[in-house]
Amino acid sequence: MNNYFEFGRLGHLARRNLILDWRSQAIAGGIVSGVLFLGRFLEAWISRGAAHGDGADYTEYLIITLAIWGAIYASMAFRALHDKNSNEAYLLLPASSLEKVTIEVLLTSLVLPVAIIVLITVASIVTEGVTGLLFQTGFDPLNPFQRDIFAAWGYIVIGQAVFLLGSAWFRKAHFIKTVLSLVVGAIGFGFIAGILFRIVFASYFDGFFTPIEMRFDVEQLMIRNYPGLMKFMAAAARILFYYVLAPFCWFTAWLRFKETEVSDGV
Amino acid sequence: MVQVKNMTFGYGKGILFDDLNLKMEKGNIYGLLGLNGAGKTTLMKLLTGLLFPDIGQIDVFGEEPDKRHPGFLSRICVLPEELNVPSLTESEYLMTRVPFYPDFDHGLFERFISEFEVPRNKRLNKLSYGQKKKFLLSFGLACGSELLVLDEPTNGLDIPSKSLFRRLVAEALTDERIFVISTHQVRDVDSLIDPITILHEGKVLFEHGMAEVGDRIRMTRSNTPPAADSDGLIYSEAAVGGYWSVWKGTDPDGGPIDLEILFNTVISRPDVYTEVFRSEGGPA
Repeated sequence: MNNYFEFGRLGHLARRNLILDWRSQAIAGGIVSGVLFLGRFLEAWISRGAAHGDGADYTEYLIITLAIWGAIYASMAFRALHDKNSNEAYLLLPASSLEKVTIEVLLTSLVLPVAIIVLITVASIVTEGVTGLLFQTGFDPLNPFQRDIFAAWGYIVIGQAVFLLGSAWFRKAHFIKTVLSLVVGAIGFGFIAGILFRIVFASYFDGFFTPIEMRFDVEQLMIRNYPGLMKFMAAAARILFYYVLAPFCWFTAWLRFKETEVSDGV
Repeated sequence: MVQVKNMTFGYGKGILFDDLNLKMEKGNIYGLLGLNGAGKTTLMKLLTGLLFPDIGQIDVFGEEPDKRHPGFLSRICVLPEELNVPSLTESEYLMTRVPFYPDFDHGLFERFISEFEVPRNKRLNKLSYGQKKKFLLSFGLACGSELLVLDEPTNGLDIPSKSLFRRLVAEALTDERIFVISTHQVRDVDSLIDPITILHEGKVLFEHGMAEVGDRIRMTRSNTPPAADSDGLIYSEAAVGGYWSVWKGTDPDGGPIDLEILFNTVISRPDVYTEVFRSEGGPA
């Protein structure tokens, strides 16, 4: 028996998670579909059939749903690890920490987004069918094979990786604490950037934060003064965001998982 | 085999176990006894890898529990005192857990569940405490784990269920399994547990089989207290309607050993008990 990774155990974990979560996820799915149906139904009713279906509305709704539902689901991924009532059973479940983290990554990044896309596609077909029959609106359900959706999915995988890390990191209120951490991080990052900018472009300031030139295009100024650096930074930021951030979050979540097993497991 | 060698463990700066040694062989039901705070639950968590020793070694079937390897975890099963079951039906619960235990015996589980008369159509979190315990006991006994750890297993069981529990546990024991029962309700399990392990002040104070105990001490009950200087008297305590006394030497009639009295004797007279067992070649 491989004590670190086995696809069989991964399958057992997936089944376990699906059985444990299907009721709450079904309720969430019902609410999401209901809101979609109700919104479109009311729109068609009020406009007495004048309004026609627009797949773009569904695309927007889908992307928002993917982001919110995905973030909440990812935030709850490791709740059993921190819950004093259930962590013993979870820790004693015969699977490795790598498998326990991997299955959450797969469920949040792959299974849940696919399920949401299928759900909203089906809900949009049903909704368009019903409104079409009742109000003679056009039939324009969601097309799930759009470039925008796949692009959004990519961003959502990255975002969910952050929330997954928050779930492993924080013991309680994972979602709120992750959001607050992101806000605090953004403020801190902005503050540091401002200070650095003030230092690098000191000659453009009169007083601590009073620029001499009131019209101030930061990007142009940076490109003009440091073209090589800007290119490098743009490329580095792109690589960091698209290729490093999510794996970093998953890896850190795994480390945190292992550390929690030891320090707070019981 | 389970072996603890020179283990030291404490919470924070306080030391709970100091150079603790322990050995458990397959085919036995060990009774783990101790005062409140003696560390029974902690020891069980150490044996199952939920806590890590500060110093020393723990070996369970040739593996280190703190590595928490899946292969090891599938060979152990723990029934904690505080039960927490998910909001699942019986079949859903089995689907989430059974695949992780390759030796799970469905036939045995069905029989145990039926004998315990656990309701089949309710979600587990809607069952009473005793019913939850019976369900998890059935699972633990049927899962085929080589080490089954039961913390206060008879708490919450009704009177008929206690005798049923004793019978089913005895039935489920095989030569390849070790059961560890930690309890304060020694009378619930006195016909079941053998050997007895008593934890006291960070050490294993007592680690003997009942046959050995019967060979070295005897217990009597009288209406009046024995004279304090009676020859061979180790311990005496007042009981309802009389006195229990513990004496050195074998009872020729093979009289019963009351575990509560044995426990009180060992805890209150560790020096005398040690002398009794050591003087006659015991391992104490």
